[in-house]
Amino acid sequence: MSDRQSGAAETGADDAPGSRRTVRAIVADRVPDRTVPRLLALAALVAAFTHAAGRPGAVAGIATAAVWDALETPSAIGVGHVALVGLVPAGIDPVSFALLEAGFVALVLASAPRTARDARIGHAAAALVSAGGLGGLAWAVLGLGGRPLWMAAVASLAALAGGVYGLHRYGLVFVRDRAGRDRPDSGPRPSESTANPSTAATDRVGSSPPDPDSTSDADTH
Amino acid sequence: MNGMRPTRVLWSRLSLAGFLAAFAVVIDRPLPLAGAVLVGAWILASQYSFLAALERTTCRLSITRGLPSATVHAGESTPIPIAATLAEPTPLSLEIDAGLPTAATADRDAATLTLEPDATAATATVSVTWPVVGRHRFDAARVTATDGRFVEMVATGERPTVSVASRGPRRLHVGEGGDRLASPYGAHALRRSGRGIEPAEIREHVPGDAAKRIDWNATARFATPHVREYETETTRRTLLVVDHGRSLSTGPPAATKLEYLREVMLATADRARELDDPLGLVAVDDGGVTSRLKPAATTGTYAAVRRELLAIEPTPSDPTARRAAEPPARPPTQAADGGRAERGRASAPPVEHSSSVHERPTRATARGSAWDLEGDTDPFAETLRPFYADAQRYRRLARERVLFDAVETALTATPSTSLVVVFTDDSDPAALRETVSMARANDAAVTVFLAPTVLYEPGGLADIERAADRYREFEAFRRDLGRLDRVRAFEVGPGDRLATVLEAGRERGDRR
Repeated sequence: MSDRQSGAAETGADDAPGSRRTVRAIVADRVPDRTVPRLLALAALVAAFTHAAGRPGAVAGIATAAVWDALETPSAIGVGHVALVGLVPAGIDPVSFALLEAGFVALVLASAPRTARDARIGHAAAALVSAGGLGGLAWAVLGLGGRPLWMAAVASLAALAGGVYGLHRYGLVFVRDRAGRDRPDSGPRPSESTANPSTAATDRVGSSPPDPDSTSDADTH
Repeated sequence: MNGMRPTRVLWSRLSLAGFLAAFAVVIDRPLPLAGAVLVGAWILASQYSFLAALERTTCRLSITRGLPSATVHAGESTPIPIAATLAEPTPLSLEIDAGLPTAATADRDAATLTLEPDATAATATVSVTWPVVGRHRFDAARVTATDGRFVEMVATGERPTVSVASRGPRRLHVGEGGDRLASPYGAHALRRSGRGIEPAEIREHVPGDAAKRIDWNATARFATPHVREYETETTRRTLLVVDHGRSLSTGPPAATKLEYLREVMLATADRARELDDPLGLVAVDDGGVTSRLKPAATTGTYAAVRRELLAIEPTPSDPTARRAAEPPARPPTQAADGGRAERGRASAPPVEHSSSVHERPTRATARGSAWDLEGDTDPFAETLRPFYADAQRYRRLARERVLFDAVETALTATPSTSLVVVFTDDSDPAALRETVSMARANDAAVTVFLAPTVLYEPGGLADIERAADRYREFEAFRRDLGRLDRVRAFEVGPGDRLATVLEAGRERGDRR
């Protein structure tokens, strides 16, 4: 069960400097040894689909699982929700809706990327907080505020963009500055002179002086 | 950190979220909006996990760049090992750019390390050429991390500098058997008293001293007749004999035998000027004499000698280049003659061709005249040709004994030459020994500066034992030469390489 094809297809157009093979390898692999939670999440999702729309729902649930297997989780979410619109044209009851979304959230949690392998709780927390925040915002605008749907959509997308940018700033400030704080003073030390035969500069990224060139970059982002 | 760049994978996910939100608005149902929210949550969680992994990775990553161990010289190529190690495996793929200075020439792809996910170490050695002299600062190592969805570049690390020195002879060693010589040319005080203007000492008058040499002041002081002695003034008519044949081009660029010898030549010429010694020059290459300046103590001569010494280049190794410089009227059969074909330089034609007819005939002029006669159908030439029937012999001799010929001609032209300084290498010991003997026979002291081939060959020290043997051979030859009366022989070469060879020789000696 993997995203192998999706990785291959999407990396082809990837503009990342990493090699094609590398990116494919990364995208393809989710956290290993998590097959059981994924199967459970898929089973829950198919069950929720069945509960919401009967037999056609089961078929749609299985199709969603297949899409998840072939592509990545977001594709499965998209296909599943579009299918649901067709399956329940008259509107979905709140219990079924809650079950379905819970199934999708379980899928998101179960299909954590490799990068989350050392911090699964952090990933799960980030996913839950994000889902809760974005969903809560949409609900607040739509249900509590009684605003039109487009406003809820705009608010959600704006919140998503703000979240992506906020994390980007978090990366700039914390990841770089933590490295910067650990580093000694920058500038060439006499021991780095080539005249000394025993010299070999060892740059430990985590404890090295900040790069003066990148300081200005930080401000531009 | 130069900012996170979302990949197309991420853009497609963001687009999907946008599509679902738009779809919800279009059909006026909130269900797809829930999908958009979930896709957004997935994106944010992935981004968070990426940053967390990046933070862990940067803490565990260590990048080592090995700097050149000694001073680098312009044009030299130095291997720079790059190593990246991770204390623990990371799920990210890392590309590490060594951050070579802009002025360094290298295969930039080779200067990039790739650490696959879960790999903990990667090493590479990149060969870097330094074409520009000066201090060059490394850029900080740039680490590009990606998980396939996000790409982040962290430019970090110290910025060491590399000093690139200009090329040319360095650590010039002039000495005898590895012992350094303080002054290759030296003063030449006779330690003999006589007529002069520099006072040397005052001594008591002895019978036979001329009365006019009595120093009356000293006589008055000491109450007995005293004589003041003066330093004898001497001049030493010096002839520099410079061999710049093909074998003198051995060695790395700008550090050839000739370049090292040139340093000694210039120092010798400078010293001669300081001592007001008349200075002359004979330069020979594989084809014959290329430059000749009669010894004189004029400023013009010193300048001319210096100019010539600076302009001298080894005989080019491509004989066709030399042949192209020959006058086009030469018959092809003669042009194919090895000795003639290699004669002369494009920039400085052989001197014998321009010699005045009023000068004493020498072998060189005879050779030149014989050459001019060949292929000439003029009746005058026809008549003269039998007189030059021996030309063939001269030419053969000249090919084999260019140096001998040149020195002999010069000494014949200036018999009062008291010092001949020869700059050559050890490629033809027999010819050199003959030349030295001949110069001694002409009442000249001889100083020989020899460039041992073993110290210049690029791979000469690869087999250090063999190099030590070869140096020992050279040293035996040099010592033989130096043992002759009024002959001094010195080796000229790079001091560091000589030290290596001597060390190897000593180690062998210890083992035996």
